[in-house]
Amino acid sequence: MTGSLDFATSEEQQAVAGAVARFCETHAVERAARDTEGDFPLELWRALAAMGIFAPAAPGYEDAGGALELQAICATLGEYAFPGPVAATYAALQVLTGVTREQVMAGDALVSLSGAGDTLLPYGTVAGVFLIAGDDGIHHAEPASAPAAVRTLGGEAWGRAALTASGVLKNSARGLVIGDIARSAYLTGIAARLVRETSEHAATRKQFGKTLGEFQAVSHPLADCAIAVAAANTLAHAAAAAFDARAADDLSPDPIAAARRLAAGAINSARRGALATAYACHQVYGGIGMTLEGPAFHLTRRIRQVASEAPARSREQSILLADAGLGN
Amino acid sequence: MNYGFNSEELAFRDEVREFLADYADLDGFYCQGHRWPEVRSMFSAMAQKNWLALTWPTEFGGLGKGPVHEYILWNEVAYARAARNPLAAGIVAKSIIRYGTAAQRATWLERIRTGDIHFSLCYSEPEAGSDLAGLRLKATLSDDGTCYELNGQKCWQSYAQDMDFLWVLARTGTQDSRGRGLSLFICDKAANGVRVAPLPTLDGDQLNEVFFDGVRVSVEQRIGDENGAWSIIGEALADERHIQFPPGRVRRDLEDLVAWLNDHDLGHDPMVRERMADLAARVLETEMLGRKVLATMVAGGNATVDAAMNKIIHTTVCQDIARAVLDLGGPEALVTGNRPELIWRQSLTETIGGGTSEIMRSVVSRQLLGLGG
Amino acid sequence: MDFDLNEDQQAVLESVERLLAQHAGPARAVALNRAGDYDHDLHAALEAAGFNQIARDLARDDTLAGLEAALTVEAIARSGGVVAAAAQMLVAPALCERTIEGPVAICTVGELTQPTPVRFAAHARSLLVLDDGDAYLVSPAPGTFEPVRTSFGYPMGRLSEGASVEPDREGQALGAGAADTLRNWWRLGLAVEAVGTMDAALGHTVEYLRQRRQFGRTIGSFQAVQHRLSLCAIEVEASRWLTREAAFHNAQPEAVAAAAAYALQAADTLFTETHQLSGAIGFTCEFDLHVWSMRLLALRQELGGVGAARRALVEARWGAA
Ligand SMILES: Cc1cc2nc3c(=O)[nH]c(=O)nc-3n(C[C@H](O)[C@H](O)[C@H](O)COP(=O)(O)OP(=O)(O)OC[C@H]3O[C@@H](n4cnc5c(N)ncnc54)[C@H](O)[C@@H]3O)c2cc1C
Repeated sequence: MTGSLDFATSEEQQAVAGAVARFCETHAVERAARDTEGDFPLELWRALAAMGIFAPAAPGYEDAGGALELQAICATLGEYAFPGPVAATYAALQVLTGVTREQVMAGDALVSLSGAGDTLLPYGTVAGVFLIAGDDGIHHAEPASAPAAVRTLGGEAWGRAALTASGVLKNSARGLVIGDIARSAYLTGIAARLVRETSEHAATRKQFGKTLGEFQAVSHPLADCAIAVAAANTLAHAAAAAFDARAADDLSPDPIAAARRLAAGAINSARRGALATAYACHQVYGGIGMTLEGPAFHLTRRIRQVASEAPARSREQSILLADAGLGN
Repeated sequence: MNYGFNSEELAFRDEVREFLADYADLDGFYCQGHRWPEVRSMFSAMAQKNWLALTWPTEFGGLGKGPVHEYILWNEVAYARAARNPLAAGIVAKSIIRYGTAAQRATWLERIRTGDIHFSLCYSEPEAGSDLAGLRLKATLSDDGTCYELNGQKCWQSYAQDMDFLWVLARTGTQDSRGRGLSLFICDKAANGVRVAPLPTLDGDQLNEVFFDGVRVSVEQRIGDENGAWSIIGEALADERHIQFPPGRVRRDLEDLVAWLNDHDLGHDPMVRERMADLAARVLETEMLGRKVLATMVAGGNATVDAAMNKIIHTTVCQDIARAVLDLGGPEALVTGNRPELIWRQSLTETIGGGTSEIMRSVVSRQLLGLGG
Repeated sequence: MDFDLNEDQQAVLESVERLLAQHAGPARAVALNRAGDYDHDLHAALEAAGFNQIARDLARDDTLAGLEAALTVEAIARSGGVVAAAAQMLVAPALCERTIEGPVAICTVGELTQPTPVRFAAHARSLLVLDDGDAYLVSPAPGTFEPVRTSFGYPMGRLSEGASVEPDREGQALGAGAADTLRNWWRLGLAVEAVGTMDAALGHTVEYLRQRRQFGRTIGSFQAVQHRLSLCAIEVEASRWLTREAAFHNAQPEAVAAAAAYALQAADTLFTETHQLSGAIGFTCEFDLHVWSMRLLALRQELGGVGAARRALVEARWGAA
């Protein structure tokens, strides 16, 4: 049997995930995630990049590991709700070249990835590189004017401006797939964290003389969240493994076809699962979950924000439908 | 999709597909109750290839293959809608291999391997559904110690009307001994005192009640120790987790729905498309979770939680495909025997049989999340 | 606003329930469904007691006949009666003042040109046909519709091969505005039937779960079960009051569309939850749940189902898109 049937986290994955987790602990990342309100923690982002975490799966960085490592990294960043354009950066590193690429890799330039026609640009006020995820691939773009700051639910530094796009970049298809894998892993990471913490809360808080977790009305919805997270995680893992197995295969006409369908499934699954988890966990937390400093809000607001990022659902839908044989 | 299988396994898959090409119209997965002679003869043809004993050790006449081959075989059979995997070659034979005496192995394994005899699972009772450990069917050892007498009732037995033998879980301890007082027996369906009564069901098929009135079974037909059944049935269940809910069935349901939408030109509506994309993603979910259960088993791990999760995802997407079939099918979907109607009917019982969704959620909440409930 | 039934309405309800206790019920429904039959005896009993004409004053704006007829149809659905009550008691009187001979079936023209299963068509003496802008009343000759095998709880028929009910457009057209009237009252009828049917399905399930014990306690005492039953009860009650409101307002289009959109969606939830919570016994023919549950799915197939009701609501409230 080939190793790719193995859904367990590999040693390499554990190693990178462990390193990222330690980084997040020592740099009080969660504090930063709670505090972000329109400004961007650029130093933190640079320090993260300095670990080399953006190299996996990037062309020319084969030694740094592949999509499976990337998946483990993104899931861990999700666990800490790391603020920043994580998925966009991974997608960008598939398509950028030259100096820009080095700047992005080093965390010196931030990437804003938006959808075709969007004027609301993620990290728009702090980004140095603007990309558009269109139906035909990823485009380079320039804002017509300096993006105006926009406040968002996730506290991220978004901006508003019109973009002018140039042609489709080489390796776009890979970029979009990697972006899907990164985003679904990140979302799955936050959701997993939320389920874990909410379960711990339910296992300790007592009402009516027993723990909340003994009430099926609490434990069953949490079980459903855990199941949704597991489903999304398994798909993200499968997509990453497929990417790693096939990405090197330049001979096949569409080497990443298998990864693309799984990644589209993964992002669909992760978005659905993470949003459902956000609602269910807020319900279990009750009042304390509604407070800004409480256990849930900094996680759920990022779920909501990341779930809304480009590319839009229409792209994933057309991949899934084409794969299922449903014509236009 | 090739993901995760090596070339030898893929070759086996192709061989299975070639075999199944002759059974494309069998429809035994949905309608085994109406197709038993045909399904039985397919099992016999599989036995010719020794596929019923695919994973049995070679010393017992098997092919000694691992769970991956078993998964491939039954997943393809489900995709082809040919049949559900038979109990005899699975739970029954594997338990006999593990716990049977030499004499019992000699008596039963060869007949099962050749597809000569088939079994019905007699676990549930009117008062023991989700709470299996509460069952009451009594097995009393005779004074001379040579045989047991079975008295009581089972219900919900799938296919018992067509099977040859019964795999009976009975109480040998006191009623309050719960799981510690149960034993397993093989009982000839033709034995005196056995009566099988049909319970017609909404899916157009039937379940059965099985009554035991002073039925005598020899001690040689008790598999494993007296009062030792609980761990045997647990292990047997664990052995089958990767093939209990094969994703091939759901993939096929989705394909049939898509074909139906394409035929009726319904695939352009944006609402339909959004719904279908979500369903397609959920089919991928159960395909990969099914693989994960398999991977856990290959690695020798405990797949209880993975399987419970997979059961929920698998059975709910299967029912949501069926719901879409009905919603988009119009009144035509109500006509008995039409494909949409069949897809819908056959999804009905999936969230109950094999452990209900609620019990699965409790497994996840207890074993994974450390909660009660 | 007053949700209590007045004395007349209470009396109507009680008297039809007395009649139904004698002439209807799940056992009868099972037997008739098995044979694919229509309940002519129940139909006759309702006729004799005057219920088939309960809404003959419907055309007058000031009457409460619509609500009384709706209460009657709801009760008949609750009893599992195998009669075309909604068509007879709600739809027909809204369309014309003279009595239309029953059983009455309703279909769209599309279901005739592309022969599709239609409830009660194989037994109907009168057929109301909805065309885009027109409505017709035709009297199909015996054999025009052939019975269709279905297990969804109602006898159904499909236009026989070679047969035709091409409406005689001059003679049988029901006049200006009839199409809208037919559509609204038909949709209201579906909602009313769904309410009675859901009510009975839920009641049957709850009764069972009160008795059924597993793990040393009644199943109804598990929260996972209890809470879902409460949600079902909420949906049934909400459907009931939306529907009665629509009947009270003589099938005012927006109220009807809201009631149908809600009740037909609830019907799906009720189907799923009552079966899931009943366990294996719920799938057996001996457990009466199917008498009601299967019908819920059939009701969802008519007149474009939930989707069409939602579009109708949007149109009634905000105008055509
Ligand atoms: C198609 C089909 C085939 C079957 N084939 C066989 C067979 O071949 N042999 C055999 O022995 N059995 C068979 N069964 C029986 C099956 O194992 C039982 O149906 C199952 O164990 C559930 O039991 P029950 O139906 O009695 O439901 P119940 O246990 O009565 O449950 C009713 C409802 O209550 C819920 N519930 C129960 N306990 C709890 C709890 N603790 N917390 C929350 N909710 C709870 C359940 O989830 C369910 O929703 C079959 C069933 C079906 C549907």
